[in-house]
Amino acid sequence: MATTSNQKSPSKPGQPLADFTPDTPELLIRRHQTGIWRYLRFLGADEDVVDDLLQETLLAVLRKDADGTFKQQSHKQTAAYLRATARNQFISRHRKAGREPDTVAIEAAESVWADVARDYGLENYLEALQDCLRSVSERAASALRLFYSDRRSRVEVADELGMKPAGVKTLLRRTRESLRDCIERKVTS
Amino acid sequence: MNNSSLSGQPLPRDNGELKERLVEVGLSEILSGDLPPDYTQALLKRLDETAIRPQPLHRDTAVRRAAQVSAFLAAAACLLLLLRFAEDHLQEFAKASERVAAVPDFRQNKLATKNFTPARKGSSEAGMRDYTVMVPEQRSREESYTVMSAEPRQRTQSYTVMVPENRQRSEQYTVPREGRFSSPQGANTGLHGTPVDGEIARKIRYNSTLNLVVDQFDGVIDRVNSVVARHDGYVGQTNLGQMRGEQRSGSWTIRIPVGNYQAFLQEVDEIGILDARHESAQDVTVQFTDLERRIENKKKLEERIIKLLERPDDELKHVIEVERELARIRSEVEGLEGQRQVMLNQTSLATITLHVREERDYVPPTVPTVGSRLGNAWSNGFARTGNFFMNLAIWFIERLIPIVICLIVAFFLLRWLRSWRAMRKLGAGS
Repeated sequence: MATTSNQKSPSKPGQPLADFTPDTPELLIRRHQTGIWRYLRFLGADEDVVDDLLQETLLAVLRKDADGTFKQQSHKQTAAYLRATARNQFISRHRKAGREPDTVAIEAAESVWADVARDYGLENYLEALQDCLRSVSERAASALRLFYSDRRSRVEVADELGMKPAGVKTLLRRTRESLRDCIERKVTS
Repeated sequence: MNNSSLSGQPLPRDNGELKERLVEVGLSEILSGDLPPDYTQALLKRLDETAIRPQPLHRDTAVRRAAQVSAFLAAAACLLLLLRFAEDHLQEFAKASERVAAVPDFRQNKLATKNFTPARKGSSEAGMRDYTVMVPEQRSREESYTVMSAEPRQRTQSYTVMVPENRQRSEQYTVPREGRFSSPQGANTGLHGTPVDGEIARKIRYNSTLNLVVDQFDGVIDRVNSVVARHDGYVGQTNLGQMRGEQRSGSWTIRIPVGNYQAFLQEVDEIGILDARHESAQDVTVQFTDLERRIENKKKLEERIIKLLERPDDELKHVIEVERELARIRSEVEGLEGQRQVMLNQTSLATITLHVREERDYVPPTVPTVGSRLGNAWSNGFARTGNFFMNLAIWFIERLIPIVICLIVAFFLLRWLRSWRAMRKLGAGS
């Protein structure tokens, strides 16, 4: 995934950076599609919906880029614009399905994403996660593998590990908390 | 078996829980290989299908600029058209105003109309001036005299006649430079008489139209007939009718010998009040002379042919040919003599068209006073102002068509541009 960093030159608000070259459609898609896909998953978009939302988001922004409604000024600004578009698509999809989205939670999620995902693709975050996974216990690693990789239910994981389902739930929660803290330490260091 | 740990779970509001959720996103991707697909080619294809790939110049900008240039060109073209029309017709408009100003004013004793027809190049018709003069008499009279040159493109002279007794009577005749009219005062001579100082008496066709108004139509027919009989004339056509309610009227076409023409006019004037009078005289002397010379030449030819027949030793076929030629010449002579007779008839008898209408308590126009003239000037001012604005409106309406066309084109162009942009926005937002 291309993650070119070119946001060093200062620039006035609303104007492109001095050395910034707008992405072509192909480059824009390649640069941002993964990050938007992860963002939509983070918001809770279903697997059968997330692909549609991702394509519609990218198409809408590319069209606006083509007719001049949207002008690329930096990759970070483009990523934020794409997230806003994806968020609107997500909310719109919710409403069409007859469900009222929790806009407060969505705004909070955006705030967390902007804070944690310093890059626009979450790449550094995932690298840090991989590092942190090496430090978890054997039991926790097994629970994570069974739950996330094999997609077993908590009951099945509990049977496999000889635990109660509630214990599995607690184990997973604590493991995630430890990973979260580990990642924050790595990212901020 | 769970499909996805994220699907269906409500989004928490707590930052800590949200960060845990972010960890879950990472775990799903790292542990289960739940990698995001590459949609690059699919999306580029969809962009190609909708044909909105970025262009060197944004399309809407190009269209907007093209529309602006088109609108500017259309406006410039409209302006040029307007200027062209204005240039072409401004003079015409000024002339129209002049024509409005030259409307005959029967209440003011001024020269009412003045028309001038120049001789056309290569035409056999002569230049002609035709003046109509209002005469301030107890009975207002409209007189029109026209004298035209019989020679093509002959230079003309004008005469002005002042009539005594404070009755300013301006008559302007146009006659040939070589004409034999001794003087305008001799209009009786030039117009109504024939004696001239040349070898050939002038042949002139006289035509007059008189409009009379009578209180009682009874007896008018007998009086007209008796006047016509007294001057050795005859009535060619009579029309009698009752028009406009009780108003009766009649018209006569009368032929009177030229010698009695003037006397007849004076006498017929007494039948009623003269409302209008038009007189014209057409000099056909040259045509008449030409006709006579042609007849003379043909007769001489006829005599020579007869002499040929008198030769005793001629063959029969020659005799037949000569007789055939003689018959042709005689036929031509008869035709020419017929024309001469017609012309003699036309020039020896004047044609007077007399219209008489019945109108009770008819008051002819009188000599205007200072007050009436001021009133007339006031009303004329209104009338002329109205005519001016009417002509102005007509002038604008005539030029309105190209303006309206330009406006319609601009309107549809702008509307199309607006709808096109709206559709673009709609397409981009969907």
